Amino acid sequence: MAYKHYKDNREFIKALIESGDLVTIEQEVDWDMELGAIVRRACEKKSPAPYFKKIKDYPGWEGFGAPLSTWRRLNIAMGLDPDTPINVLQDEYLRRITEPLVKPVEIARNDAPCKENILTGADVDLFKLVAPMVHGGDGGRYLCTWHMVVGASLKDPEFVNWGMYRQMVFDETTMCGPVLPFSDMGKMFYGEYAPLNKPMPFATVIGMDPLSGVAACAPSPYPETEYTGQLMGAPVELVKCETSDLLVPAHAEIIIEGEVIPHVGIEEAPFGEYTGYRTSPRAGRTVYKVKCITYRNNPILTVSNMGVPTDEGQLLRSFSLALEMRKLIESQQIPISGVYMLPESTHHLVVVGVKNAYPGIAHQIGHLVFGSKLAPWFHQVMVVDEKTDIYNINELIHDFCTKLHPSRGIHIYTSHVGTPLYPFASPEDRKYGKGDKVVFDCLFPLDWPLAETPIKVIFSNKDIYPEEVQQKVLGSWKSYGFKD
Amino acid sequence: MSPKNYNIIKEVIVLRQEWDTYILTKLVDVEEDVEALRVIRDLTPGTHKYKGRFVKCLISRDPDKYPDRLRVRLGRGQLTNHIWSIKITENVEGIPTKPYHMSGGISLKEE
Repeated sequence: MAYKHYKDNREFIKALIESGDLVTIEQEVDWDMELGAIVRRACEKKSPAPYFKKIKDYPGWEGFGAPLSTWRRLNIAMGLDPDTPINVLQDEYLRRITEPLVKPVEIARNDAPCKENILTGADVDLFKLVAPMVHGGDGGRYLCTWHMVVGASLKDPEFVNWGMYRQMVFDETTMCGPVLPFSDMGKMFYGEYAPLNKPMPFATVIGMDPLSGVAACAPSPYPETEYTGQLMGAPVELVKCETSDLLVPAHAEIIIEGEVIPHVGIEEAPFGEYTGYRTSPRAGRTVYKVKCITYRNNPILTVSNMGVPTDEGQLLRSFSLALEMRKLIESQQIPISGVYMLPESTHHLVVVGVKNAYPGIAHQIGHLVFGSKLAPWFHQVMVVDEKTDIYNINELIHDFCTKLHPSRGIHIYTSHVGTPLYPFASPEDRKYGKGDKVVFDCLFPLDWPLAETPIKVIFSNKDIYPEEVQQKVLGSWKSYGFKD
Repeated sequence: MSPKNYNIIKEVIVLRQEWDTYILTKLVDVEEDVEALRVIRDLTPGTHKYKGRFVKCLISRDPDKYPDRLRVRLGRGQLTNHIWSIKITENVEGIPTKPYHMSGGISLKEE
């Protein structure tokens, strides 16, 4: 049975208008930094998503910024109440992705809105699309910031990957952008196509339905087409590309088709990234040659503006990476209460609540997490006991400042894998993707006698207020005169 | 007429095209008046603003030495204040077949 979901970007926009999570901007905005600046500020203030009705130089085009940069908008995309708590959202998400996979359906070309306009040959010109200068000084106009790149394995064409790899416009028929070797697309392109000097067909999908976007960001062991179907509870509708056999979401706003070219590079970056900085160096990056562009009538460009929290890059990746770590740790029967990555940490900090069952449990969690294939994306693990609310920043700070021993509690692991995007890494480390890791063990040692172990003075602690006292106070709270 | 007004009028009449490029090395190390392969971006207002192209060119810190204006950005996009000048000696079609790893320009000076 299908969950409540939105089959395209436009239905999602309508839902956000109804819930008050979107602002419609009727005045003309400039694609050259103004549009990006509005989206950036909306992210920093956690404002409603901006919907641009008029963009300078591009009559008939619209824009939609920060589509999933708040928990409310993610809840709405999932068909849940906007104020659903994070732990409930996590549980529901995990429940859905353990249901049977839902295969996509292919629809006829004539039924696909993304084919309402088709540009091929000499008509292909990326500058006909609203490619914004997202941040002043960016290496180019980043057309593709809330999108997915679709590619298929050469060895197994049934294996198709959806991933979000930023893409910058170089000229009318060329884009470029980083594809890290350890990414799914990187393994495919650099591992299978490039050694044979073979171009890899790709399709960039801009303005897909929100759950397809969530799937494209999530580390998925299954094809994202089926993962999206799990999240929707219904098959995602796909249509074949014009210039390859790749299938793309039929209701997306814009499709850009072409080939990834081996053994060439075009300089790309700098670009504001999810870490909140422009960190990665300008360097020769992967080249995409464009052969065809298709798009809907009155197309809407979706824009994610990465910078200081919170934007999609942080919120969705923090959410999905935390769930993957939760699944991994639970698979080893380690008695955790939960895993959470604060979006404000730009998915660099993994917070794990655990029952302190045996010595060294924090180390064990650290080794497990840092040994996973997702380890390049984070470098800090904080282990707290199961009584700490891992979703409460105040409790986390309190634990960090009071239970973490400055020398005994901080464990550093060197010579690990990292990414070029770590702002704190040296230029040399960034160049080679090297990184160190750290575990913050915020557990009191088990070898302390019970009588010597501090207890937290907090209302909910039964050692401080017995159950009956807590229940009496909670039951009488409003009658005392409290309104909260 | 003052030199400043003369240059203003000259720019208006000549309508110098404006480009920008990224320099990743220290600016003091940039070789002027030496032909180099660079990526430059067109700053002409309009839908094609920031279009990139490969060119062979000469650049100078003297803003009036060469026909076009060149703005210089550093590695993280910081715009420098000084206006350079640039002369495009050749537009390079396609992507240079030499493995092109950006370093702020590949000098074409004879070794």
